[in-house]
Amino acid sequence: MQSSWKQFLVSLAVMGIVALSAQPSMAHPHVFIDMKTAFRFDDEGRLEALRITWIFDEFYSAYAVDGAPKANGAYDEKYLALLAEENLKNLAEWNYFAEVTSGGTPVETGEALDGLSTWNEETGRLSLTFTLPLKVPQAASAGTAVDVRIFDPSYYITIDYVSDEPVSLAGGQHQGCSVAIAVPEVEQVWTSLPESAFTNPDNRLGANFASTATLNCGPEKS
Amino acid sequence: MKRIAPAALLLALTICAFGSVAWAQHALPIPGGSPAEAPGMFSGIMRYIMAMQQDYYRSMAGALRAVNLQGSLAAAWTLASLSFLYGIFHAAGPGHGKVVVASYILADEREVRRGILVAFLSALAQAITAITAVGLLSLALGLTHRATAGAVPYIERASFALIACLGAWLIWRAVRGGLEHGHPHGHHHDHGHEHAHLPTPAELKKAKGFKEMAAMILSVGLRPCSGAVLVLLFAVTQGAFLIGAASALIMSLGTAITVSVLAVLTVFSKNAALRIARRMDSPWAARIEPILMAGGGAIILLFGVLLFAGTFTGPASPLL
Repeated sequence: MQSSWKQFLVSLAVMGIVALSAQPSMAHPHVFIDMKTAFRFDDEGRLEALRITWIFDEFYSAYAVDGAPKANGAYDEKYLALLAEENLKNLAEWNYFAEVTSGGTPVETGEALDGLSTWNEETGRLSLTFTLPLKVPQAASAGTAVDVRIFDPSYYITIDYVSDEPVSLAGGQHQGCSVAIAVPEVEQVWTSLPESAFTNPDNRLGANFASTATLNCGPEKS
Repeated sequence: MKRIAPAALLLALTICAFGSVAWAQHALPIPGGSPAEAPGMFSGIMRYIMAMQQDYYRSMAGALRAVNLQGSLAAAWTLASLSFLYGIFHAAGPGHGKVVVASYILADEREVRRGILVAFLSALAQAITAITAVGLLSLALGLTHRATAGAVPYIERASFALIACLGAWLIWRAVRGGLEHGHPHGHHHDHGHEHAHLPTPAELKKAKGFKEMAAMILSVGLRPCSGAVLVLLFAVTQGAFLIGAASALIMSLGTAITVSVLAVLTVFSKNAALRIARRMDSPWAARIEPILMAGGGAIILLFGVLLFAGTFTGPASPLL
């Protein structure tokens, strides 16, 4: 008598664990982007734009260029130009996944410029590069550091900085400026987020996994 | 008799357990939204493991390219290991017939060995469907990546419709069986005991259950494994369909292991529940088998209908 109950309850308990462990169509990234960002300054040392490069994963890359005319290992330039244009048109609705703040206050960004798609035959990966101008150039002095986060709120796409030279400074005057990248502890994020972060799309799941690039200029604040 | 209570509790527990599997596999809208609660430690860790499957997935692309370009044994070994591991974790996510396999076992299966067989055959069938679908559409018909991926929901829809039919069939069988069983006996005499000890002739049971088993494998197997489809589509773009097919088959071994675990647990808990029921002296306990069959059938039917309805909405992303 006892053993049957035990077997029943133990099996049921383990089944429950197996069942609950599989989260309801849990959101997880399907597209992986490696990112590089150049911070571009104007002559007065203010941040005026971000030149962002996204290198797509092999799966997405193959998907994006599938059926495109190709000669000598290079895809048709017209096709790639059209691809960049179309991608940026779609991304505009999402503000290119960018979130810029200065001293914690949101900074408005404009329409993407100079979009460019390139194909790397050796790695089989597609890249998209575009310039995201700030509507009002920002001076990143002590106390008003500029924070940049680029992420897909739905976390369908994960965007991570490359390990080798993830950021650079470009353009006019940027002496004394530096960018620090804060990467969230991914394991910690996965294990500590509440259930609702995964089930409610309004919760912008992707924000939890987003790296923050912080631009600081001038003397260090003590 | 007071014994009705434990029997009813048992049934409720079993059906709840399956309901939760069904729920966990398919996000049903929760009225009022879910409260913000910290996850249990276990579900948090499982989530992280699930996230790790994406790393395997991503690495498979590079591994497949390496096998294709270098053709080295080391590269092949890497791809095989990645495919296998990805399969194990991938199957823990939605799909792969876990709910249907478990509910089917609840309804109509008692042997551990057959439970495992069902799990492996369904996984293999899902891989074969993926290979056939991508092979036919992408390779033979020359459809693009996009068009092939776009055709998959139609194949899935057929699978879901079959799943719903299987559920309806099981319910019908249970009701018919329950009626045949219930009528000739008077309600005043204690038939639960004597009947429960009668062994069902194994051969008869097997011959009878074979149709359902085949129907189950067919309906589940018609839904291509989503992981396999992605790898195969990628393989086609690399001109390496056969490498992709090999990867898909190895992946199905991994998914079969995960589904088997659930299948074995289901067989264990069902058999234990049946043993307990046999010792109970209540009319409910005597009818436990048709009730389980109807319950399992109802879950399969509901699940099939939900999945079928779910194929008409899809996620939107600016890059796709």
